[in-house]
Amino acid sequence: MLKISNLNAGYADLPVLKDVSLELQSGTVSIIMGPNGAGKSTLLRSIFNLTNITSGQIWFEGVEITGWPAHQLLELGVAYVAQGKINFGTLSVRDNLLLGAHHLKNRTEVTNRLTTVYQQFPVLLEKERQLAFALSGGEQQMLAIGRALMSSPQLLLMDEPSLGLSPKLVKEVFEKIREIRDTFKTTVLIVEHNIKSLMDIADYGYVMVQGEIVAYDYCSLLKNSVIMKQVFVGKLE
Amino acid sequence: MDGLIAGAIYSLTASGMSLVYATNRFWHLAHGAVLLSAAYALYGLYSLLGLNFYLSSILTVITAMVLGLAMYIFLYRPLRRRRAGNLIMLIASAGVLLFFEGFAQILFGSDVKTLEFIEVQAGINVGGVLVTPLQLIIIACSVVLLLVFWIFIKLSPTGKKLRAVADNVELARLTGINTDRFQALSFVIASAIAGCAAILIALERNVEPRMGVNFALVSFTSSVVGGIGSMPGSILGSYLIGFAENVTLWVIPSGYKEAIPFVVLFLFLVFRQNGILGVEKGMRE
Repeated sequence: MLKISNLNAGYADLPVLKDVSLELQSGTVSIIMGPNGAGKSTLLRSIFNLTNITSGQIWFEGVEITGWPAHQLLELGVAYVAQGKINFGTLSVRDNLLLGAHHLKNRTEVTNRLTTVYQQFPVLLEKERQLAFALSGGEQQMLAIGRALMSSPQLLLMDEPSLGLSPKLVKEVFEKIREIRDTFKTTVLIVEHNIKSLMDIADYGYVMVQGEIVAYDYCSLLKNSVIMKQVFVGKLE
Repeated sequence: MDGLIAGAIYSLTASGMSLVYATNRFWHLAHGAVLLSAAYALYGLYSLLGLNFYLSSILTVITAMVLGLAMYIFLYRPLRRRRAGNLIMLIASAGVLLFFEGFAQILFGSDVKTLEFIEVQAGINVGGVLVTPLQLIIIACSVVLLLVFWIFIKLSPTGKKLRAVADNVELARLTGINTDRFQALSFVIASAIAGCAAILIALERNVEPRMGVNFALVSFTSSVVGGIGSMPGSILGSYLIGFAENVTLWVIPSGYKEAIPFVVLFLFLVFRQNGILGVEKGMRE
């Protein structure tokens, strides 16, 4: 459903990605792993046109989306959960969620989606009138995911969802990602450091080193492979 | 009483500047130039061309909106695209402000203009204070305008998107909000309010080239004193400065009036850096 072919991209004069190609299967969870500075986040950001793409194409469901602006991607069904400040802190939880579907005209549809998101994340319903900055780290992440779900994405891109969370919360967030894949049949592409726990729920893994994809396979096969040891334990030839 | 009038007028210009700062992250000092041009537009249309006052007023507000939008499109946006920092934006803005002051002097001369629309009226005694009907209208206009503005920002879908852009531009862009359009919109709204303020100022005080710089500086101080980026804060700050300016007249010569806002600013910067309603920095992270 998402196909990237020979993508070269980076920032201004700094090329990061070198001839990256990948293809995602519909309804699967894939992880991009790799050491710091490998270009994992850059790859996600390139899909959302936040980098300078020098060559290559990105296709989504047979449509070329290279360099599309965010609002068009959203209408097409691609949503992105960034890292860092991921919510509008001075707006209420409810308004944060509603902004995820701001492009929809149909009000009943928006209300339906809001109900679905609240079913998925009951804690957000409890706190819907609070300002988003008052939420805990885990709730913040849930809110950001919830806002992304408000656009009913077919493809969900996530940048380091476990950042700053305790191990217990990380598990909860990952569990939610698995649920989202199973209930909404959403395809998920995650950049993650915390690969050990994520590999149990993900379907495919891509290993990136210095801007190139050096290996990809089923997570179950990748888990004990030689390449993983080489990349993550050392001895990279 | 004069403090209240001053506060009512300052709050209009300060809230506009605060809105632009919130969505664009730089101080739009040329907001004073919008005000100045609007006041002269009113003077030109009404006093020189002899148009109907209400028609002139509407045209004045439209002039202000067009000018504010033009500044965004032709000055700030090209600068931002070239990755200009906030200091450069501020200096460019100050440059525009001074340019308009000079331009107004060339066109209309540096003397004080009056509108002479409303004849001088006897004051009415309200609770022991003398007020003119015009002063009551000014306060009412200011309060109604700001109330409408506040409800719009808080409750309308467009207002919520404006607040989202003010909160986190990068995230708003990722959420598919056309941030450029909302940044432009904040200039249009701020300028419309400045246009209304210009009409009130022209009626109550006079039109003169210096007013742009004066109001720009007072609005900036009010916004900082009230709490940077906070709309209610900038309004409170405006009234505080309006009162401070007029109360101190009892003890110090009126020549020092223009220095008062800066004394207040200085006190706040020393004792309460976040302003009246400013939140602690860490809370928003």
